[in-house]
Amino acid sequence: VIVDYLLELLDELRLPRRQRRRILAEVADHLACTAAELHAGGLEPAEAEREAVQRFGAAGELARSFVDQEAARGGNRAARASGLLTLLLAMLVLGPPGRVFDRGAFPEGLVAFVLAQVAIVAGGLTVVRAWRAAPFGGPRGPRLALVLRGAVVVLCCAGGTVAAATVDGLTSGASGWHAGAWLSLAAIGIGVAVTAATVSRSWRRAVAAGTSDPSPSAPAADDVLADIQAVVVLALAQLARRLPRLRRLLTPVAWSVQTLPGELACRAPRLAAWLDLRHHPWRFAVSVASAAGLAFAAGHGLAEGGVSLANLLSGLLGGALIAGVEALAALLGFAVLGRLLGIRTRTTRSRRARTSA
Amino acid sequence: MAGEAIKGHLDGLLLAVVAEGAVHGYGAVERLRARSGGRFDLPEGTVYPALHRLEGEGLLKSRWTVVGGRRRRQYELTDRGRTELGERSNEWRLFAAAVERVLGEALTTGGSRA
Repeated sequence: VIVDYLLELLDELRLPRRQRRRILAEVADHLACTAAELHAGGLEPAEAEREAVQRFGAAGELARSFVDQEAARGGNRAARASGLLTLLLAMLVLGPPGRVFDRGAFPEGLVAFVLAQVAIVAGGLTVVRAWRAAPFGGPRGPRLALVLRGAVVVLCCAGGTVAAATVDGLTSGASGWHAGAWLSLAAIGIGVAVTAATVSRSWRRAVAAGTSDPSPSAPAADDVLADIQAVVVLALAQLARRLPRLRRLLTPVAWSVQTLPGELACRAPRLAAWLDLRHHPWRFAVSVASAAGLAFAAGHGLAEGGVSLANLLSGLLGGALIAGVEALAALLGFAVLGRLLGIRTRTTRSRRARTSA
Repeated sequence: MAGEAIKGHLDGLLLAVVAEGAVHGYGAVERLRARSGGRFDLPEGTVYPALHRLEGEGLLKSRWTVVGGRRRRQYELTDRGRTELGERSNEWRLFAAAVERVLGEALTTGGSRA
């Protein structure tokens, strides 16, 4: 009876060989101990084995727990790897050391710059989604699928950035590029290779668990706004746990984050409706991108010319163009990747169908 | 107690029984049953995914030992696991005390009305 149980478990455990062997050894030992105890208590050996197996629970369910757990851990690993890659990309392409890339070159420099921004959005969403699921052992089901899709988008963008920047470096000659730039590029390349290996392994685990739906047309069962809100609250709670002295300060901040959308809806209903990520995500994306472009330009104006109202205004004026480009890029990115990343949940057609129904 | 009811607390309970000393899965189930006076009688297999998860989170560590010619995976608490157990115990004490206050009051009020 115990051997049959172990064979059934082996059949259902879609995990790496080493892990499978360990689980089987532990289960075999446990069942043998229980059966021996029951036999010593007076049961016949066959009856003792049957009772031991019954107490242990169904083999299929046990295997499912292990496989699901491993898939969720894989999701965590993929999110961590893509988060680190995003950070690296952001630091090297958009941050102050970004000057190592000749961003002015067209079109390669621009492609690298835009792809890095898409990677930041995808990476941010991936990390937020995985982090929110962390207290439950990691992302599962549709959330796991979204985490993996996000990680794949980060990978593609980082790979595209490396390719575009390489072309940019090779064509711009010795004047545009120096050793530091090539080193930065190599760092991103290594990050891409490591992340690709991690994501591929995680993807296989998710497919084995049957919880990942790699189809881009699958509906997103997710709410980005709630995710962001929950992660901020979680981060504040963890900070308060580690720094008890700041608890009095952090608790009201966490409370404000939780109640902010409701407050905004009451006090500024028009603004809340405009920025409603749940119902008008493209408007939210374009508004935020435009605001970010303006803020970037204003900051640049102040940093270059010194802090003064004139510099701020000239920065903002010059930034209108950047903001326009950013908004257009956000709109295009949203149209192309929105469903894949789970931030565009319903198409106009399905909404119409729902209305007519 | 039904297995479903203790599922949310299984991690904390396992940390507590492993804290008594290194133990294998079968021993952990035995300790759980003994310390709960037989109330925690869940499908025994459910402890293994939990033990593996806790090990993955760095709260437990494990190694193979040979007992009576049989290989066994022994689990021990890590320093992080010990800290986590302390925090969970404190949280549980506060929660249980609050529930006790509410239920105790309800029982008293209900009793006085009756």
